[in-house]
Amino acid sequence: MKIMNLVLSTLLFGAVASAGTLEKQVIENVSKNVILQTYKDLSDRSADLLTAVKQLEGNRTQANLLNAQNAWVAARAPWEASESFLYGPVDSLGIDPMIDTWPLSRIDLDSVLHSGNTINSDFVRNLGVNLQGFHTLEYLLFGDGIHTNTKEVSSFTQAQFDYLIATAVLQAEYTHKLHYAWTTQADPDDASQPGFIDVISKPGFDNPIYSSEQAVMFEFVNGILGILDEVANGKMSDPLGGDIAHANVELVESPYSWNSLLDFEDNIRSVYNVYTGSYGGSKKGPGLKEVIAQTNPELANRVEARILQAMGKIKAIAGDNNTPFNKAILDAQGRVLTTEAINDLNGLFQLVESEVLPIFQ
Amino acid sequence: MKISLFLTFIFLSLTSQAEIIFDDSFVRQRNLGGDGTYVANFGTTVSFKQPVTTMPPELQEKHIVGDGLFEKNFSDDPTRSDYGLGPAYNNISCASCHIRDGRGSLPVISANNAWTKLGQNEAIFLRISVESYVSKNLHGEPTAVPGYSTQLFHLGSYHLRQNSPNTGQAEVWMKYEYSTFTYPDGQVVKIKKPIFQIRNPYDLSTDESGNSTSRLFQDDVRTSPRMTPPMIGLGLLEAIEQDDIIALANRDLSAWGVHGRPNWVYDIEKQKNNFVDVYSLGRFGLKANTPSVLHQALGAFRGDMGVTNSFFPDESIAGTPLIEKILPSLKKEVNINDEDALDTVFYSQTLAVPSRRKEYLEADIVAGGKNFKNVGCTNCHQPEFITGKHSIEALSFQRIAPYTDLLLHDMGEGLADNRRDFQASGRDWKTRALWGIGLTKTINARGGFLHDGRAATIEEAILWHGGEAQISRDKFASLPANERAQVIKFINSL
Repeated sequence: MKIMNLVLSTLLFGAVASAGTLEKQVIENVSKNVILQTYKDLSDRSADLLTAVKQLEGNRTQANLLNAQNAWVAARAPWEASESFLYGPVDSLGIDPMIDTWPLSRIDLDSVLHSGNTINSDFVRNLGVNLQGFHTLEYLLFGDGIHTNTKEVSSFTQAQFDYLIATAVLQAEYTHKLHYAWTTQADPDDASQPGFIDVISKPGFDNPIYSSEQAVMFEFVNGILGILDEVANGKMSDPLGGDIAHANVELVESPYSWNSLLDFEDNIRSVYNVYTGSYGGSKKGPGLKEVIAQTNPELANRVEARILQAMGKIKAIAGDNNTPFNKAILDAQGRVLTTEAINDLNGLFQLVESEVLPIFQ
Repeated sequence: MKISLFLTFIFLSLTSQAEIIFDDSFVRQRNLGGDGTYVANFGTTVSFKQPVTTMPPELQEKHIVGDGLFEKNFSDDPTRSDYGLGPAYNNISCASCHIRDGRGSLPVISANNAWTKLGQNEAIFLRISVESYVSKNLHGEPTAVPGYSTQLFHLGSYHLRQNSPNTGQAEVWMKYEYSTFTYPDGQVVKIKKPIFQIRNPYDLSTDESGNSTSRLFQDDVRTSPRMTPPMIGLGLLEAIEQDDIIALANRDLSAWGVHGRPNWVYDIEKQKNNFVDVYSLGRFGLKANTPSVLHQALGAFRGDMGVTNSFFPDESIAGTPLIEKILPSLKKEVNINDEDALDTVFYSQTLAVPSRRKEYLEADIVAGGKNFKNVGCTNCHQPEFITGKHSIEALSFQRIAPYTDLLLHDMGEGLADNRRDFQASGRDWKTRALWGIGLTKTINARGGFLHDGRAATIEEAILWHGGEAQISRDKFASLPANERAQVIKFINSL
């Protein structure tokens, strides 16, 4: 059975040219066609975002503001869809906090904007991590998110435009570095180092990071567990609070754009992508699922179904009125749906931890 | 087992000084952190994030709560519930420096090794002090630089310095100084160390001659970089009996040039409990300058992040001119309550040591372990202890292999910082634990070794050893290349 599955996998995923174990194929496919592609999209769309905010600054129309807002949402998606693999250069180069620190320090940002300082990317680079990245861009583009998730373009000050462009320049720079570190040189200080994709796809005891294929597979699964826990018990549970009186909207991530539920869904999409080895609807090779299917096809299918179910539960929180998460946690029905989604994610976590993880230990 | 260790010390005191201390059974020990070791066949990025496995479920839960606090980003916005950061600080959360509970890394340096400013989210900072012979004659505690403290905060809240937003007391800049090491067999290894410059201090002024001046620029000021160490096994190190550490200091290893000494340092818990003598054996910090995980962790809350707590209630820049302007905007009460503070301490005490990987008995590794002993590494990197009683039961009476004696050793001019810290001289450093060291790059691919993270590899770290380690370093360097590689492989297997 195992041999047959292996043969079938090899035939099915001819696009992954290398021979070797199914595990090796999974590592190559996931790192090349899922992780690297996600980072490429992140880098490309961050560049698009920079173009869009420059366009907005040059031609200050409501349509261009909407275009820039959409560019932010588009760039946000691959980032959130990368959060099941927050290892490698995103971690070792400290890129995660530079582009996605939450909370934003609004009080300081408002001070900067009123300070009269010349605002450019070098100025912003020297400010705190809580004054740059996605959420700074979000606040500037969408407003405070209290009553609406947009603003009038006429309300922008020149300082806001300057800050927006400076932050978008840095965002494009950091995301490009991340992609480059995966493709070309993992450590900017060491030109002899290959891209991280070579490091992760060539494990062995003398590989300083991954001592075996098993170690890489374990990394994939642990990354999945990490984001499942984070979404359920951090991103959703913290603002939900124990009851409606203890709901805390200031803990909601992406509150200005009302993009929180899409963030969470993309987080779980990240799990789906690594699990199935697919990205953007395209599947060029095997994922974790195929390894599990070698010994337990029923479990392999069950896990995939549960991932899709969890994404559906998150989407359902918005209800018929497309309620954003920062409003849903203040609404009785929204709280019920949020609790259901949290429980479902925790169930999926348990399933992966108790039945999937042991396969790779 | 404890008695046998004691007998070993008695026996050793009667034997020839240069004899090897232990047999080589340590080479085959896999579970370095006792019964609570996190056993895994391979390392991953979460290898340092596991709780001591033998704790009961309620303590596992407590550990998870502490984990959340360890990773919490603090804000300097007094209107927010996560307020507490600053006003001067080095980072915004524990985990931002202790990356995945492992070693930190040096900043990425600009092209052509140009001076690069320490920005956000760096895992290194400078300790500072002035040479004061009055203090030196007491317990040797570092003397704060007037107008500063004993730590330089390179970050600050936005409002702290009007013309330098988000800069703390001063900017710190870094680049590398490169050199080479040549083995007796002719092999050359390029090594590097970070060097630092302080710029734009908040008290910068112009003297009568028109030169820029600051208290930080005066000749009696000493600076010393500190790179974050890994968090694993700290509770076990705390559980080692003081007498066992002192016994190691009392060995006569003069034939090797080794003279380990304990540090005796200020103990906040003794102070809080009104002890007359408020000094204890130092175990933590790179110069063993703190006595307990509690003191180290809560001191770091206040020092590294500006998060005050009941043990360290004053702001880190209290009493300096820098705080005066911002004082009205600061909340008066401490920034974290005792429950949160102590949960974070508990977390820091209960991170398990990972087991050695499945290859640990491969011939090369075993051979390397034997040479590790033969060249004298075990003189200081003590491979075996039995812990004593600890308030956390899972840490008590465990056979552990931290590979440290927790003592101070003169490590030579190459590593000297020329800054005193209690009994530690400017050439002294505490022997670093080696457990888990082979997973350093797995945890943080850019993680660096030694007190300032200068060594990119185990080999570089060995080559920097001098002073009391000179004989061992030279013996290592004289080994044939394949045997040197085996020693490194052994260390990487820990």
